Amino acid sequence: MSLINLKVNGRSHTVDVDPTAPLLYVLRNDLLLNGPRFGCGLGQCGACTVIVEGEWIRSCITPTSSVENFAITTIDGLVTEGKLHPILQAFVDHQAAQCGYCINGMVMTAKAFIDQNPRASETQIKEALEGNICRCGTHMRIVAAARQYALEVGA
Amino acid sequence: MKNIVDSNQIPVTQEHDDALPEIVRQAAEIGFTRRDFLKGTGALVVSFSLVGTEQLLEDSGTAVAQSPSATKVDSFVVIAADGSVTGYTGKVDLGTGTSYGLKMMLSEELDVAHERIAWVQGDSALTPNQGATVGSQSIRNAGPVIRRAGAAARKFLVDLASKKLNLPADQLDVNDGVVFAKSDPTIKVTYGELVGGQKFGIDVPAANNIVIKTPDQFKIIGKAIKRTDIAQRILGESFAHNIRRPGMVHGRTIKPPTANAKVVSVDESSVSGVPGLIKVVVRGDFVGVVCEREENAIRAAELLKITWSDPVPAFPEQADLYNYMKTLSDARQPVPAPTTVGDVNAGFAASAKTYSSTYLWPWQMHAAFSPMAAVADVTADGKCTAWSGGQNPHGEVAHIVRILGLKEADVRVIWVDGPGVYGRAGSTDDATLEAAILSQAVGRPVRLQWLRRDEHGFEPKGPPHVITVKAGVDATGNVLAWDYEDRHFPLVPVREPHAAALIAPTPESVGSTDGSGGNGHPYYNFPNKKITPILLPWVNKWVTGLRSNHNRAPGDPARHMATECFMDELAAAANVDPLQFRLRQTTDQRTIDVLNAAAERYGWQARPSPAPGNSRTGVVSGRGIAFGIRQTYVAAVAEVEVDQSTGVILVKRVIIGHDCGLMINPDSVVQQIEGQVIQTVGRALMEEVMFDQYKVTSIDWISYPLIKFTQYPTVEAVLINRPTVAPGGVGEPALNPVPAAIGNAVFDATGARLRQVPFTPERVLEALKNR
Ligand code: FES
Ligand code: FES
Repeated sequence: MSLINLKVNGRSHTVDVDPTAPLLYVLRNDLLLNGPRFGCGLGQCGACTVIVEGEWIRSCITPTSSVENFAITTIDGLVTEGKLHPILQAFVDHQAAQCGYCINGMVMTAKAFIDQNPRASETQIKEALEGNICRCGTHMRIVAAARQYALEVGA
Repeated sequence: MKNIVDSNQIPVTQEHDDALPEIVRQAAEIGFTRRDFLKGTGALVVSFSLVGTEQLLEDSGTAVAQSPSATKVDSFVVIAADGSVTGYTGKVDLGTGTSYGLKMMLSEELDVAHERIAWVQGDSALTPNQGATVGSQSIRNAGPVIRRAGAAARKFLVDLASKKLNLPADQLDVNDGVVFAKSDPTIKVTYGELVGGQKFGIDVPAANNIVIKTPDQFKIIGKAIKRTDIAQRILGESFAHNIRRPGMVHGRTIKPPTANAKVVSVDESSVSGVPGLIKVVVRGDFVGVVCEREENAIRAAELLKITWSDPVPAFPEQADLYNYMKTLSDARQPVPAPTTVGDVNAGFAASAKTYSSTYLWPWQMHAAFSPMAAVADVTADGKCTAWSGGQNPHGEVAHIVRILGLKEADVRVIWVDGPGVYGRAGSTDDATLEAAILSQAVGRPVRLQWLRRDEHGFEPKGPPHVITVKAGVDATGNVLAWDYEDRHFPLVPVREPHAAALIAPTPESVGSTDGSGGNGHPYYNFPNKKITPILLPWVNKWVTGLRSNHNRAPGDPARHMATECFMDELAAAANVDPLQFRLRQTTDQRTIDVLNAAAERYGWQARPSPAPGNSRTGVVSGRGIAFGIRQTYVAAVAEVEVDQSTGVILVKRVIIGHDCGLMINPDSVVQQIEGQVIQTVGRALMEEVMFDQYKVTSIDWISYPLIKFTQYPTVEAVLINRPTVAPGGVGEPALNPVPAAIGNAVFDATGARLRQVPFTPERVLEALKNR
């Protein structure tokens, strides 16, 4: 165990964990965040995605110590005083969730990609989401929501 | 009566903002018991709007009582003194929007705005047991009961108002919980004033004993209502996975490495170095570990040294599976007679030509995006509260009672949002019992989630089919004789959680076939037909990775694949347009309407397949059509591109014609259609469980891939509303015609027939070689 400083959603936290512990469990169980979730633990599905310094990462295979002091954003940080961040609002507008379990990964992957590639095309968005899985078949609405956000960011 | 709605033009007449995520309506009920409600006032007083989930969790008393009776109006509707209304149902919303449909049905009959109705679902202590949420039955079967309960409550209230206002009941009307005189709306009394805090004390009337609204009286049914749970699901606040209890620790379980392996010994010293290890739990062949921290529980599960009995082959070789299935005979005694119409032998004798094809469907998994997860809290005094995201909270109670040795009245299972499961958790979600076993063993609340390899490896799976169809046709190609044989393992056998089968299995049954929709019955007017479902024995496999179980629309996608691909073969043999070939052999109006609706929307040109002029090399396009039925009538047109050099199929577009009778919420219907089609394109193109003789080898998303973002088609739905026909389900039927429509489109594009799902590039290349 060792003390690690994490900057999550604009706040600093010190956690006392095994430095190799995957970030996912620290976010969920030490910082009590609900957004990132376990889908595979193998980096294959996207359920655990968070954004570190603007890049999306799979927190299930990221050792906690490797992101010490970096700016980490989880989906929980995309709600401010009850107001949804535009990308979340886009997902709500398009009713882009069935069970919703995969959508954390969709939102965070798409946000990181679009913030770096404003006005991303539909094809580019689909390619960016290629490593994310949705079992409910919500793909059309997910892409439509991401596209709405891309148009807003690029406007 | 019917009217057609285009999915692109659904008028959204009711819309409201997504509720703030922290006001979590379903999870908010956690912690209330009916007994709590009843305390003091003799009434059920519900007040949740301002109380957060965490607070409710803190306040929660542990387990309670038996489920409320499913025959009492009070079990479904409660009106508090302040007039607030709560609806209760044992059915749970698996992300399909059914709770909106059911609430709309209550709202309609009760005449209370649906936005004002709080909704409590799937709590074994609070809600009536209406059976597992399976088979697209919520709206179809539970819905009518809720409507009758609502109508009975309304009648009861209007009768009370009649006495109070001194006016005959037929001179009164109701608007959003206010009873008023038709002649003078200022003469009025509210539901809250009439009954608030009191019980109705009446039974849910039989269907012939209560008048429910007719379609022309509907205020809310049939309107497109948007879901308000999207944000909370995205943010994850309402998931069972995120239930946190004071003192909660983390469990993982370890599955047998080979089928039917027995625990010989467990070397606990192998994990003694894992920090925060609380306990290694061994009961029969069930092994689990509990640790203070989740990542350490995972590590302990990896490290624990278990000696298992020697591997014994349990399954046929995968390459041999279909041959093996052909050698088996029906497991039932006596074997039921086939379903027949006319005289199939005479039909064949009179036929000008006969044809036959065999279609193969593999083991497929539900592949829930999250492995099953649950939290259980078993206290020293033998009370258990568990939070489950499965499909059958009431059903979990009995397993916990049996395996933990608790009293039924002491066990409460509370359903909380979970991932989509598509039938996986219809009999059992597995995790709830396992969390309870571990919690009992350590005396603390335990959160448990299966590992991905265990979810892939040990979820109960949809069994394979070998379907052989023979047809005799007349000189025009019309079918005179249809002989259909469907060989498959049990579709509905897994009735107990994995841990229960590892610890104390109940006697095995041969399982059952499934009496649902398709069953291979052609809905076409063939004068002579014989339908033979053969239930193959698949015994002694209930603890293995090939536990045979219902998968979304059990058996139906395979049966429709065979029927509808074969119809396409017959149409091509007769050189007739495949749509016309179907239309000329049915007189059923609903069948005709959905076929035409999909074809028209697509812009179907009548011509036989294959498409004239397509090259035999490079990328070619084609279109295919198919029909399906599972109470709800569905037609699909698929448009595909086939790369003849690689064998890769790209499904570009799927149009669904859809008639589910009375449509409750068109928005939900469209969402369900989109999801089913995209999921099923993946099932048709790439999903096949791989295994060897000892175990399942599809254990992650690489070895069992799902459809990707660069592979999904555009889905369009044409909805036919038939307000006078009872609603059919919408969570399964739309997937049925999809594999056949794709296979038929590939034939249209290339002239090659696909008869084995999934339609992998290798199989496509093989079929191209053989064309
Ligand atoms: S849980 Fe991290 S990628 Fe699947
Ligand atoms: S919405 Fe259920 S997995 Fe994507």
